[in-house]
Parts: sequence; structure tokens; C-alpha cells
Amino acid sequence: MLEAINLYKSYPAAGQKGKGTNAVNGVDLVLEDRMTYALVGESGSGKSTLSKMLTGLLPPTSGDVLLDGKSIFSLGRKESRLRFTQMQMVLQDSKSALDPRFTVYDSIAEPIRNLLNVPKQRERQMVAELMNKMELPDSLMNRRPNELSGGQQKRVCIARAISVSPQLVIFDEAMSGLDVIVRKSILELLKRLQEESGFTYLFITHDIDVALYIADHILVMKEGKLVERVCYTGSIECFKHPYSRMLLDSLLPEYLGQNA
Amino acid sequence: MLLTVNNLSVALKKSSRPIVQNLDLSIEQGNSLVILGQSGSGKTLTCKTITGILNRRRFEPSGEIIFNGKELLSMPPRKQREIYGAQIALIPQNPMTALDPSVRVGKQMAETLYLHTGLRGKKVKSKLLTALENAGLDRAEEVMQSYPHMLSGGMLQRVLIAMALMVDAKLIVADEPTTALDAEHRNAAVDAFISLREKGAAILLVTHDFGVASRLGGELLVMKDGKAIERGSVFEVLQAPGHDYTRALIEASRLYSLVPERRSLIC
Amino acid sequence: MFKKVLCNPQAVIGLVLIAVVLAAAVMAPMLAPHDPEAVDVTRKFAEPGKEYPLGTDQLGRCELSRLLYGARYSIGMSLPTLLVLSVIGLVLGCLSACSGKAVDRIFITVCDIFISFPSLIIAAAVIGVLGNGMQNIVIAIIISMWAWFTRMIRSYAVAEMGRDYILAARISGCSTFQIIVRHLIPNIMSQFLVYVSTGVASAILMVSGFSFLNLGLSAGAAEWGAMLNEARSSLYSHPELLIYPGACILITSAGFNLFGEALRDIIEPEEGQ
Repeated sequence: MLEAINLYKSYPAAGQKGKGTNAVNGVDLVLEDRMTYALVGESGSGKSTLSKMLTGLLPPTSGDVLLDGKSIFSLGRKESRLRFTQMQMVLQDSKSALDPRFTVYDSIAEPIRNLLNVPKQRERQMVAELMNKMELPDSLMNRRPNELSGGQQKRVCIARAISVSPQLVIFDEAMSGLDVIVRKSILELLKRLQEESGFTYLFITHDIDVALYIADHILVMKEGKLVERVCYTGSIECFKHPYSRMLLDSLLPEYLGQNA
Repeated sequence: MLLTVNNLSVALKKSSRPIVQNLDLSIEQGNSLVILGQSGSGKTLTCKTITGILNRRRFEPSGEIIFNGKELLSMPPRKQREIYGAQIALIPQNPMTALDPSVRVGKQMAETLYLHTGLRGKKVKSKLLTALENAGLDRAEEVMQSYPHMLSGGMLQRVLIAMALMVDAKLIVADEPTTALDAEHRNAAVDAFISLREKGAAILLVTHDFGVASRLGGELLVMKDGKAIERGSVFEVLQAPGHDYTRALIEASRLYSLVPERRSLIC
Repeated sequence: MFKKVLCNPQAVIGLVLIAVVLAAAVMAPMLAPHDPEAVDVTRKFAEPGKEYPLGTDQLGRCELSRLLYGARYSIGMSLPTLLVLSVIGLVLGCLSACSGKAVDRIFITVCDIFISFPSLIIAAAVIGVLGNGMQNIVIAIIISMWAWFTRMIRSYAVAEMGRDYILAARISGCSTFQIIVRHLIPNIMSQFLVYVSTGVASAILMVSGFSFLNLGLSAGAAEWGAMLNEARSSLYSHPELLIYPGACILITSAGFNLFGEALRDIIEPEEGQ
């Protein structure tokens, strides 16, 4: 459903004219329905730039992104906004991703108001359902972000992203900075949601542990290129690239002993 | 024992609500202790109390911290200064903000060295170079000439470790030293701590990451809600956690082990 | 927020001073014992007494009444000026921050050009072209201060635009206009109010400064700056006539400045958290 064709993005290097570094260096990518993808790489590998281009928030230097066969960079003003009914993104830092002056209700309702033309009553019902889905107690509805815990903020961000029932949800480092136990419960919840609603997920992460847990397809990125694509079957044997092996090396060593 | 903490409690002054409760721990020279816990478990506050950077206006510590036979909590601030920095070094969570961005790394290191040992002149450079090399930085000359922003997080982390090395700190306290780092630098940073330990320093490392704990090894203390709920060697605890909470923590930081083999159907 | 203001002594002092000046301006006709313009040359430089609590000036006009009516000029001119400036600043500043790099560059350059003109010269030029009158002073102040407001608000807005919730709002389908109105302006409001409250002080000083130089107001107007100017001629014989309006200007601008700065201190730690 989402296709990236030969994406390049270069930022002009300071001091040099014309010459620049390629943050993303020729990436081809196809995301299919109802799959979970993980894009793994260290910071500076260009994965964040890539995710911004996939959502159309950043124009590529060359190449194109097709959403259901249509380029997202050549849409009209209104269509361009409406692409967010099909793809949504959850940002890394949920605390700053929520407007400090908006209540939980307003934050979750915002995409519904902007993108789906529904009556007020239906909107209220939808937000209540979403909060229920994300296991957020109703009592939080009129709270502001600084009154919530980190895990609750993240849940609000996810609720906001899935409020318009998009086909694709991109998590841009959205699981880092969470406590392991909170992270686990949110990932479990996301898996359940996927089974219910058939979302496609793309996790952008530097945490190979999360990728192995949730994704069917793992893409390893290094220096702006996808160096390995693996269809993950539960065995880490399928990773061949030395960089991937190095990432795997940071896992709890015991497990490697059991399975390698 | 190099460091013994007896019955340490830290309370908020305003509400006298204890945040750390009756904590005991001890570290020997050449050994390491990992304090593991989620955010809000009081691990950072413990760390701050031991390194003497606790905000005494907000928090009220009680109990004993005995370092090298001297009690630190009741020591007058002037005497404390001789110990902190020189004998107890702190490696902060974010290496990016720990150094002055406008001063070259080498100069900052030399200043610190002078402050704690009074050493200056020709010997300084060779001492800094050895320290940087010992901390695992290959191009030490280059590092000394750089400004902090020119180095990666992992390299800065090692600069801080080198600074602890050069003043011959006996105890190195690291508060979440790996959180701001990428996986590959994370391993290297932990390895640097291991080599420090081999050189005879005692390491106190605070983390929420079981991966880091298992790589470092040594002793482990699991904290929850300000209390120590489990202690033992890292590998013992990892293999046979005695507390439900520890078990949940291990499981949550080892997500991939929960993946069933069913995935083979997809391909 | 209100509680914090009341707990901050600096803010309370500022508020009290502002309230005193506002009360004087509003109730001047009731409080003033005489007509501020009523000339009585037989009683010039009268000592303070029952009839003239603060004495009279060189034309025998009641000093107290003139001071009270002077508050009307200062407040009545600076507040509308600030209102217009706020609107201009918010609209242009936000637009500049939200539009592309090239447009932003143009805005900044134009602002820089206006900032580099001394305000006095602009005022002299405007009044020279448009003639005397209160509204012309207001226009002159607006022309000399709008660039400062626009730049300031632009810098607040640019800092805020870099925050993640703006990106999140875009992903939630907000148009640029919606982002400005719903997210940007409410979030820069607190910093903006601080700037406005200190801006009032400088506007008051400007009004008085212009009338001190006989720019804008008709001769004999009961404006503090103009009064200062008139009192200059009797500086050695009756220095108190210089002190009264001077003190009024000081109190008013100090009131707004104290309040504004206290407001900033109150807001800033909140942001740091």
C-alpha cells in the first residue's frame, strides 16, 4: 500500500557549495497491508529522515512515495491533508508531542475533527471508545498532559493516531524512553489492536529487542541505505550482515546461548 | 569494604515522605554493583546522595555512607570536596551536556586534573593521553583537540570515563550511562566500565536495562518504590529471580524471547 | 496562576501601582478639585494648601488636577497603541514563523530596517506629515514599535514551531491556519503578555517623551511629559513642579515593568519543568 521508490535526501554540508551528505541514500521500500515492519538502525543512519519522507512531511531530494499508487508529493492541498486518514505517525517524545494546553479529550479528538466529518455526539463516543481501547481510565479525559505519566502520554498519542482508523501507523522511536514494563504492556496492546483492526505498523527504532518482538519484517539501515531485509521467523539465524549481528549482540547474552 | 551504605533513607523535606527507604549496600574495590529499577524507584536519588550532589534544601538524607572508613553524610562540605570528584567520580546520564561546549576536551580535562591533583605542566599531556587510551579512545590526540559537539555520545561517555581514570577515582558512580547511547556504543561503554573494574576501581552503575546489567556482571540490587527488593549476583538473579517484580522486569527487557516460532508461516 | 501572582511581592507591587494609575485615569473628573485647564494667573505658583493640595503651576492651574488628568493621556494613549501593536505583531510574527524560509527572510529584513530608525525621527516625520493630535502620536508609536513586536513574537513562534506537538498537529490534519490559531497563539500567549506589559511602560515613556519635545499634543495639555517641559522654566524656583509629573511617569512605567518582569519570573520556571 505504501511504496518508496529510490528515495534520496541530501542535506547541504556546511561551508561547501553543491556538495552534501546523503542522509537517505537510495531506499526502495514496499509496505504491505496488515504487516508489521521494523526499521532498525543507529541514530544518524537516516531512519528518522526516511520516516518523515514516507509521511510526506519532508520532500525528498529525488525519488517518490506512493500511497495506494498515488504520489503523496503531488496531491492537492486538501487531498494532501486527507492522506493522514490513511497514514498516521506516533512521535518519539510523547510529552512534547501533546499540546500542553489541550486536554486528553481534545488531543484525541483533534484528528477526528479535522479529518473525519462527524457530529459532536459521535465524536464523543469515538473518543470514549478509543480511550477504552488504549486502557486509559475515563477520569483522565479532562486532564492535561503534564498530569499524566509517561506511559499514559504515550497511550494518548497512540489513541490520537488510530482515531481516524488509518491503514498505516508509523512509530518514530516511539518506544524508546519508556520503562521496560510499560513498553511491554503497550506493545502487547498494539499487537491486540492489530489483530482487531488490521493496521500496518512501521516501527522505527534503534532497539533491536522491540523489533524482534513485534515485527514480521525487519529492515536494517546503515548510513542511509537498507543493508538487510529479513523476514523474521523467530530465529535470529537469518541475520547475516555484520552490522545486524552487532545489534543482536546487545541483547541479553543468555538467549543467544540458548538459541544460537 | 570501599563503600558501605547503612540504612540510608532520603525523604522530601516538605512532606517528609520517604523516597528511598532503609537501603543497605556495599561495594568492594575491583567490584561492581548494579542498581536496577524503573523510573521513580529512587535509584537516581540514591546515586545523588552517594555522590554528594543531593539537593539538601529539598531532600533530607539519613543513615550512614561510609567511604574508605569515613562517614560522608555528616562530613563538613569542605572535607567532602576532597573526596568527591577526586576519589568518587560521577558519570552523568547525558554526556552531551556534561562538558562545556565552548572549551576543547583536552583543556577541560587538564583543568579537572589540576583541580584535583595540582598537576600541571609537561606531564599533563601524557597523563591525559594514557587516560583516554585506557578508556578505549583510539585517536586520543584528536579527541583532546576536539570540542564536545564534534564527538559522538559514546566517545564523550568515554572522555568522562577517562576523566575518572586520570584522577585515579576509587569509586565510579554512573547514573544511567547508557540511556542516551545507541546499541553499539552502549556495548562499548559497558566494556569500558569492565576494564575500569579490572584496573581496581569500584563501579556503581544505575540502570533500568537488564541488558546492561548482564553485560557488566557483578552484584545486583533491584529497587522498587525506594526499597531494595532483591539482591545477589547478576547471573544468579537473571537465572532465578526471586521476586515477581524482578521476573516481570527481566521478561520485559527480553521481549524477543517471547516471540513464538509461528512466524515461519508468513514467509 | 493567579495565586502565584498574588504570592509574588514584586507582581503585587506592580499591580497596585497599575491599579492606582488606572483609578486616577478613570476617576479623574471626580477626584480632581479643579479644571486642569483653568488658568488663574493671579494665583500662580501657589503653595500647597486646602484649595490646591499640590499647589499651582506657572499659570495658576491646579497641579493635582493636571496630574490626575495626565494619567488619562498616558493610559488612554498607550493602551490602544499596545492593542494595535499586539494584533500586528501576532499576525505578522506568526505568519513569518509559519511561512517558508524565503518569506521569513523578507519579514526579518523589513523588521530590521524599521528597527534601525530611531523612534524619535519616525515620530517627528509622522507628526510633521499628519499634524498634531493624539491619534497621530499613536500612529507614530505604532510605526516605530511594530517591528520590535513582530520580531519578538516571531522568535517566540519559531521556538514553539520546532516543538513536537506542532508536528503532531500537522499529522492530525491541521492546516497552517488552524495550527496558528489553535496551537501556536495559545502557547505563546503567556510569554507574549509579559512582553506586552513591559511594552506598556516603554509606550508611556514615548508618549511623555514626545510631548516633552512638544511633538503631537496641543500646547498646555495636561500631559505629564508636557508638564515636565513647562516646569523646566521654573526649575530653580519651583523644582517640585518638575518632580510631580516625573514621579507619575516613574510610578506608571515602574508599575508595568515590575508586573511584567514578575510575570516572566512566574511563567519561566513552569516552562523549564
